[in-house]
Amino acid sequence: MATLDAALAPRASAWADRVRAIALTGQLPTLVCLGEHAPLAPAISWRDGRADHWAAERVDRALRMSMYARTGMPIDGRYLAPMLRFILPTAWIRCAASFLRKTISCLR
Amino acid sequence: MFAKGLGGGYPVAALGGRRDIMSLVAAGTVSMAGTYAANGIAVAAANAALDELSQPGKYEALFARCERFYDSLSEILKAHRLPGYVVGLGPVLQVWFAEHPIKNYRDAAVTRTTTCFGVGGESMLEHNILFHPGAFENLFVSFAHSDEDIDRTLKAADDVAVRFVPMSDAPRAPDLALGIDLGTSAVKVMAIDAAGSVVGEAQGTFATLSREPLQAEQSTADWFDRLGECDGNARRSVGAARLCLG
Repeated sequence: MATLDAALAPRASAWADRVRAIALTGQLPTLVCLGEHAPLAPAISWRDGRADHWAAERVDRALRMSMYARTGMPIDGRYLAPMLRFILPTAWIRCAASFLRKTISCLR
Repeated sequence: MFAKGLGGGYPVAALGGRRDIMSLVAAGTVSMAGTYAANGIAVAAANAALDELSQPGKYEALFARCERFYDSLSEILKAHRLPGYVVGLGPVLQVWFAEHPIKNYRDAAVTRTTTCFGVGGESMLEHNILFHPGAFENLFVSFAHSDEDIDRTLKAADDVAVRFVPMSDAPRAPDLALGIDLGTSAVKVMAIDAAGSVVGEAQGTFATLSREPLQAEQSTADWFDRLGECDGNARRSVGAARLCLG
C-alpha cells in the first residue's frame, strides 16, 4: 500500500474534497509486480495467453476443481502465478511476497 | 463530387468535381438540369452579392467589427467573473462556458453538455438576440449586422450575465461519488451527484503491447496518465455545469 500511496500522491485529484465515495471496477486478473517505489515491469493482462500451456501441464482438472472448491477461484494460465513466469527474471524474486498464498500453494 | 448551397436563401449552389467527370457535363455528354438551374433571379442575386462583397475594405470592416465584438464579450465575462472564453475566427464564433481555454475538440467535448449554452441561448432570445443553444452550433456575424446591432447584443449579454453565478460564489455543490473503471482497453470516470444524476464523465484509452504471440502487456504509467486526464476532464465538465446551478 505504501508503494501505491507513493505512486498516487503526485496525482491526487483536485476535487478530492468534494468526492464522498469512489467505486472501483477493473480488469479481470491482471498481474502488476510492485517494487519499493514503482511497478517492476509492465502489467500482464488477463488477455495474455502465454502461460496457458505451461499451467495446463501443472494443474490438472482434479487439482483445479480442488482449488476452486477451497478458494472459490479458478486456477489456469490466466491466473496470477502462471503469469509470473513472464515477469522479468530478476523482478519476480523481489515481489514474491505480494501474491496470494493460495496462488503459490497450488503450484508447489 | 462536391456541392454546396451558397445563396443565403436564393437558389444558388456550386457543384464541382474531377475534371474528367465535370467535362462530361460541360460537353453536354451528361445532362445536368435542375428546377432553378440558371434561374434569372437567382443569378442576378448572386451577381449583386458579388458586387457588394468585392467592394474595397468590406471584409476588413467586418473583421474589425468582430474583433470588437470578441473583446467586448470577453470583457463582460471577465467583469461578471464567469469562466468562459470567446473562440472564433472572423465572423464565426462561439462563447464557451469552460474553466480553461478551448484549444481542440477534446477540450470542447468535455464542456459541451453543460446547460449553460441552453440557458444562455434562451436568455439572449428574451432580449431578441438569437444565440444558438447548442455548443457545437457557431454564432455568425454577417455584413447585415451594424455596429448598433453589436452594441445591442453586448448590452443583452451583459444583462444575461447577471443571471449566472460566478464559480466562487455558487452554492457548494452536493457531494459526489466517483465511479472509476480500469477496463481492458480504457479507463472511464463518472461523477454522480447525491440525486443519482451523472454530472460528469470522461474516458481515455491505452494500448496493449504484444511483441510476441499471446503476449498482452500494458504500461501501468499509461493507466495512471489516462486516469489523471479523465479525472481532470470529468472535473471540468462538472465545474462547468455548476455555473448554471446558482
